[in-house]
Amino acid sequence: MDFKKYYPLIPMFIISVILLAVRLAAPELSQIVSLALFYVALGEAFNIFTGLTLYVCFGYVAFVALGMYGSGLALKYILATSNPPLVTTILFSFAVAGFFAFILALVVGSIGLRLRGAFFAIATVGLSEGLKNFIEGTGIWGGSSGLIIAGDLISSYGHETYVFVSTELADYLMFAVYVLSLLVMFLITKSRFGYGLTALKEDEDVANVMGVNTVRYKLMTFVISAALAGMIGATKMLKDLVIYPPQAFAISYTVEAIVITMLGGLGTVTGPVIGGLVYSILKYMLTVSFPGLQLLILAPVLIAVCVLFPYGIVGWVKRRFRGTLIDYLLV
Amino acid sequence: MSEELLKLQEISKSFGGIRALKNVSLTISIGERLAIIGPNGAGKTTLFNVINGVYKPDTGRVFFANVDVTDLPAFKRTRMGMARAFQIPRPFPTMSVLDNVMVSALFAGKFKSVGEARERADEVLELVGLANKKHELAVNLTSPEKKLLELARALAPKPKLLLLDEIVAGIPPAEVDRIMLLVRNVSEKENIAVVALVEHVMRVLKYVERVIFLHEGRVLMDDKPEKVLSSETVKNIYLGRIYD
Amino acid sequence: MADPGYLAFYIATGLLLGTFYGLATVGLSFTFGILKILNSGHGSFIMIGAYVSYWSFVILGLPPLVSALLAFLIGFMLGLGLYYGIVSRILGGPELISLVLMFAMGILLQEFAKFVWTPTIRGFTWDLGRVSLFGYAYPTTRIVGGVVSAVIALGLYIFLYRTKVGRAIRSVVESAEGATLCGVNVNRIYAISLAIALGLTIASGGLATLYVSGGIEPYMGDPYTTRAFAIAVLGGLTSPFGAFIAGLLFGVIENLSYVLLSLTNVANPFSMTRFIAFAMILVVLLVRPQGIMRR
Repeated sequence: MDFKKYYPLIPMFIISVILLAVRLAAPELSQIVSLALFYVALGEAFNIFTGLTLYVCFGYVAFVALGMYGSGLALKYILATSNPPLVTTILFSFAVAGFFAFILALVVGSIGLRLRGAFFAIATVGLSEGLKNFIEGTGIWGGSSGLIIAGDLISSYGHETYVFVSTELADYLMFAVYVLSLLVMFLITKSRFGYGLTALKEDEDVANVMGVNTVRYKLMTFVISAALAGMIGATKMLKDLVIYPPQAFAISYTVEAIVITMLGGLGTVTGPVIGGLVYSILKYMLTVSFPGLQLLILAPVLIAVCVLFPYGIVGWVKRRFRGTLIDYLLV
Repeated sequence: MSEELLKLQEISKSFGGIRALKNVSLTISIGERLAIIGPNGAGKTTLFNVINGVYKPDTGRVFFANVDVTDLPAFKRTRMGMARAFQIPRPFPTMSVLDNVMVSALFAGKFKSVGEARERADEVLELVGLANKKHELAVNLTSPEKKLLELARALAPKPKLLLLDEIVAGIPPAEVDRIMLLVRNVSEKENIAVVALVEHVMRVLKYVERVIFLHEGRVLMDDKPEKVLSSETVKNIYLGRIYD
Repeated sequence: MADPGYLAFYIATGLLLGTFYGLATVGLSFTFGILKILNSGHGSFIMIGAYVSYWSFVILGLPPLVSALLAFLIGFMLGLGLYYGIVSRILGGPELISLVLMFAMGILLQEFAKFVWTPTIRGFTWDLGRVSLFGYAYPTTRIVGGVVSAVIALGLYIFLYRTKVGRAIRSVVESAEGATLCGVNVNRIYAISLAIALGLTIASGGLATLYVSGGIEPYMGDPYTTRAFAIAVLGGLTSPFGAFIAGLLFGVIENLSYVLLSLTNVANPFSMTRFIAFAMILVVLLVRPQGIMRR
């Protein structure tokens, strides 16, 4: 058994333990820790599709939003019909969240991913807007007045559990989703699947002639990425306990996912971890000093990254220290 | 005795108003080595694209190993045992030479684990003479080396049919013999059918058993090399150019 | 509903709206055809045009048809600056980078607009009365706007097919390499093309003020990005004239679906027409990825 290829997990493990330890030891820092976990997980989920294929979905926030709706609807339904233990309810809501996002990705992807690069991007630009307008237009799932689950939780489990769910449990579940997305990304890059994706990224035609089922591979990364985003949405739902279409489908989530992934390093496992940590600390400080200007600051940063720094932090370090231990441990 | 591996049945293919292939029919047996010759624009590359599934023919069927593959995409045909070396090498530029060959072994071949694929890739790189370059990025190879990499990638999955598109064009004469000898040896040992597209037929003549002459999208002759080369038609249309 | 004149009215207003949609998409197809860059921030440039038109009207008293010229010039300069400052540095790189870059550009313009002009919804009235045809009244401004859009599209056609620069641009569309060999300065053609494309897009944004009922605000461009993509896909994506014709068609489709949806009473027609644009992209890409204009 070749354990050596798992060594790069060590630095990631250390970072994760530190984050968890900070959350447990210093509850006053819980806000920034959960922000960091959210953004790292979001970046990594985004990275699984965009970093591994170089395809971009401009409506990516739709998967997070659909996950929020999925978990919210599941909670409402299950609590209205029966009164199961908390764990069952939560697990069920996460499964539904992932499934909703998965189905949307399957529909959009199986049509859109037959197309190349820019054409796929076109197909996705209206995704979140279109879905938002669909929900508001048809009035399903609460329409424009939103979906609120706080009351359902309180009436079923009592006020104490309700507070625990939205403050403590949501953070630990976010940690779990964060670990999951990191592991999924890592295992993909080390597998046969990952080799096929690297080939696809370099030259899609040749990869196809060599036996890589490119359409299916793109679709697989897309649905995995979406399902993870859906589960991230589920944790967000537990934290917010409410969802309104305009906030849920806010374009800023898509922009943030792109910035984190590109700043950290597209297609690298650790890129979104570093990008997400840097970003969440910056965001935490910026919302304090420049409220409401987040996107005005973010957009030029993204432009600068595209022009000057397209490989991101991890990509740059790996090039700088090619062949050394750093290059080896930083995947 | 010869068992049929690839059969083209009345293939036609047009691009806009241009008919690139007109009713092409031919059969290739297991382990057979042949060259397809013809002037530029005769439809040779289009024929390859129809065989390996990059294009779908307008009419006609393609059979491979007794299966109708006309509607199968390129990657499925590759998995059935077709391998192709491109005329203009298209390695995955920022992957290492070894990774390039591994991708082919993993996806086109029966090597399902990364470890097995690495062994196979090492073996093939040794065979074509690129073993000392295996950790280089493909983009840094010289153009003859890229041709060798193209060949290594084609051989890695242990194909049944090897489609070589101008494999010796731009290769120094001394190397041509080494490469063609290598191809013949592998073909004999592993019973691989080889189809070589060539413009300069003399360079590969002694390594093939059969020559097909393609002109303006039609098969004009299909016979033993010496017969094709001595035919008046072929001489008139084409041979003058070989001795240029 | 059974009245054919009623239907004709909606088709006619759809066509008028379509001239604006067409013009708003020409620049998108132009950039994609020539630079092979998809302007994923397209709608924001339309929004900037709308503000140019608004401020010209409010401060300088210029009617939108005059300020469209000013908008074109602003777009042209912006295009040149954008090309030499940023876009030229990423040409030839991965497609993803250009997609993300233009997307970020669009966000930057939106946030800039929000920062300097606040998110307030603005509007102005430019009324030239109404023209009555077959018992239905059409706002004169829209008819004039439609004529101007068509004239601009025709002007672009003449520019591309009758001038030296136009020929050079077309040669670059066919093959940038071939054009270089023929002595065309491809870099300059790229710069001019992006400048023209953004000029036309921002000018169309000026005309948007004649059609938009929702008013002018920093995020008004987003639905136009989706619409323009739907139209561009319908028109074959790389052809500016295909885009213009597809724009006309889309205007009619959108108007008629609005009418149908208002009749059915199932869903909010305003939101649903925006969903239709998105659904149409998927359907067209699935059924006829080469667009409807090509055989």
